[in-house]
Amino acid sequence: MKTGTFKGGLNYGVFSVNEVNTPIEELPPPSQVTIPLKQHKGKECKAVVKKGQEVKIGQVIGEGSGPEEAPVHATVSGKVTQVIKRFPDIRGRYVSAVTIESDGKDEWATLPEQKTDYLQKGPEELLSLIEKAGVVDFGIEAVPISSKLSLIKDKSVNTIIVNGIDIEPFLNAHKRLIIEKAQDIAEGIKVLKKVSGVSSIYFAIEDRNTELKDKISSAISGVAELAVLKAKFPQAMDRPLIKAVLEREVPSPYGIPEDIGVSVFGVEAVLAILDAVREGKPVIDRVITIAGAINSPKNLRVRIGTPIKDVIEHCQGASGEVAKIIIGGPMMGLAQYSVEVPVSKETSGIFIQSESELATISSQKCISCGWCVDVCPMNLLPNIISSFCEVNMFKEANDYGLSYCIDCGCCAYICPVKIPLVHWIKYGKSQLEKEEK
Amino acid sequence: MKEERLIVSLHPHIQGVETVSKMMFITTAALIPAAAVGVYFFGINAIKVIVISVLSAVGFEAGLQKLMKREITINDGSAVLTGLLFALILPPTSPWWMVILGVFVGMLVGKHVYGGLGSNPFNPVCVGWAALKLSFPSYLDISGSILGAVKSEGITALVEDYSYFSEQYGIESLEGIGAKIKVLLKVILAWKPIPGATLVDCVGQVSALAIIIGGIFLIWKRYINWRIPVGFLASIIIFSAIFGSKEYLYPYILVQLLTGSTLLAAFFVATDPVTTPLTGLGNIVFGVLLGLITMIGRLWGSWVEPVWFCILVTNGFTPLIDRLTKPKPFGRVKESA
Repeated sequence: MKTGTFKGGLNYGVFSVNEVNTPIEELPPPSQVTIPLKQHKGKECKAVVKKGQEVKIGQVIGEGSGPEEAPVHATVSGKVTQVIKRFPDIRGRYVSAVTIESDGKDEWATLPEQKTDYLQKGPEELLSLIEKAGVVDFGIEAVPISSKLSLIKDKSVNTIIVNGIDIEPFLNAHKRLIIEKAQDIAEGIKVLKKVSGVSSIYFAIEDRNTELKDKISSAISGVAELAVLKAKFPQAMDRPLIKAVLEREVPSPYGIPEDIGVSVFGVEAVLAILDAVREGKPVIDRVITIAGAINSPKNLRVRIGTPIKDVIEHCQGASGEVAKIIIGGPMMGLAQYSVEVPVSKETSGIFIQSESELATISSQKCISCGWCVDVCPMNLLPNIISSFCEVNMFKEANDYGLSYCIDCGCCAYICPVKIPLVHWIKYGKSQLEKEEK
Repeated sequence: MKEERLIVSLHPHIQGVETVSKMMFITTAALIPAAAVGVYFFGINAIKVIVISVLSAVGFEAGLQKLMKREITINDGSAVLTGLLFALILPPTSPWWMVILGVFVGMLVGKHVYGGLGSNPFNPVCVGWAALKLSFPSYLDISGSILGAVKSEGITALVEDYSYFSEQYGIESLEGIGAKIKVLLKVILAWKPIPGATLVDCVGQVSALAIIIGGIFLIWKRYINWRIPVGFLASIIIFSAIFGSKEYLYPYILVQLLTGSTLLAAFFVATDPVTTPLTGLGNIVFGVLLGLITMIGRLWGSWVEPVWFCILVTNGFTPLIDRLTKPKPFGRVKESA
């Protein structure tokens, strides 16, 4: 089989990757959770619980109204202590949130129960189960699966790619899930096939782990076709992924995969779909990797709403002085200013950085080495775009494809001068948006 | 964990280990074989030129930056590299004041008037060389070299009248593939003087092999882009085959291709990132164009070795090449083009 790939990107060889390859552990339910009511693409949910109310696990606490909103559920049983109007989320924006103090009993509203007849159900019924469970595509965008499924109908999508690749180096949750739950993933893909009506399904993994490849290829045989890709960052992003698997380019800068008849689902979303239809279990937790300057790096199953400080404590604290706490991975993650920020459906990992590992920034000029051009997966000239943005020439920057940039950060990583290219490009994008308004 | 100390900044939060100074010092290190061969053949004179050139390059870099009230960046290694490269393209007989003057012009007019490293449109080494060539042509005269002999008297005279290959390398006939490989292996090691004369060449250009070792090392380490040397050398071969002497074509191509200045230009000078195009395609175009201009200069120009001047001319094409080879962004659709 040919190993698929895309132009540009960073080979894993350049990262000094210490793979966190420990089995997934369950983090004990925290004593208190703060659950943001916006953990999806659309508007924030409306709180349907009041202060002082008793809630149980799986009980709906936030109800959405639009198609891009997913309901939010209680993740511990106990008492609602607060419904906060302005709570900082991982992007530093204020959202509403519900704080629940655990009663320690960990009681479910309706205990999940494994059924066997789920594949006999009709697509409509399955869809409503998925919708009720609040399943999202567990990326930073967090698009509700129900909205993705309706796009499949609207845009007559004929191919689905199940993404088994972790979004970043250092994060390993997808990999561990494949190794530990290959059979469930295959079941989930069957459900996905049924509910979407799409029969052509690819399962994308990278070529650097044979254990993983053996596990999944036997599990999914007859269900999905395995696509083995050359290990590179940012392969898990939609555009490079589709290029690598199908040799097709998503229209850019504003197109979506569905425009060319493709839809991408992460492994974790597939498992959550299975949980929703097989057990009626809503999304109350997710698997994240805790890596970087931490005493015991782990892959953990964490309840949504757990403050990251609890997670870090469980991993025996940071090793050394903490400089940065990053939600997501080190390449594209968001640096946090507070350890009270909770794990949400958008959190794929926590990366701790100590002072000595911080990236540096230089005021030196670009030496036009062209390394950023070589690694740009969008085939842009990042140095030119960045220098236009630096002198506020946003129109010119856009002529060179400013809006095509997918913020993967490869250019700034590779730059020998250490120019903060992502900084300038993001600044340019926001200014261009303002100018266009 | 003290919360108030958390740092917030944009991604990426990690970065690669490569830096400009690492790039410069490793490139400098890759020149050591070529410089060592120069010292072996030319002795103390070569050492003198190298030391004067490197020291004055570092001195002028610091001095000009201080004068212009800029951050002093002699630690980034670019001045050392410029100085060493400049020494390697000068004859070992160059007087000390001329070396200093050349470095000064290269540093001032070639680099710092534009704003220093990264802003210069022309290669500082070549700017310095061009200034000296125009001012003191006799000191830079290398017409006694093999390249010079081929230019003034032709390859036939070199092979037949001087019996160059048979006397210096012991190869009587250039016929047959075995003899061709033998002559290639012998000349690549080092160029020998014309029979009956002393060796005339520039400091770092005697041994093709020494330069190639450094060049291949840099390509392997990815500090230089392979496309420029490959494009340039391929174009030298093609254009010397088209335009060059039809008699004794094989030794003719060897002289054009393996002369030290060709290889030094291919691997070290023309690959200067600042003055060359950005994209892969652009770099191939740059290399091929440089080869064409160089061959035109060698065949019909008046200088024996015009490659340094040709690099300046081709540097002038870089913005145009960049414009013409602008890559098509991923997934561009007609409407947004």
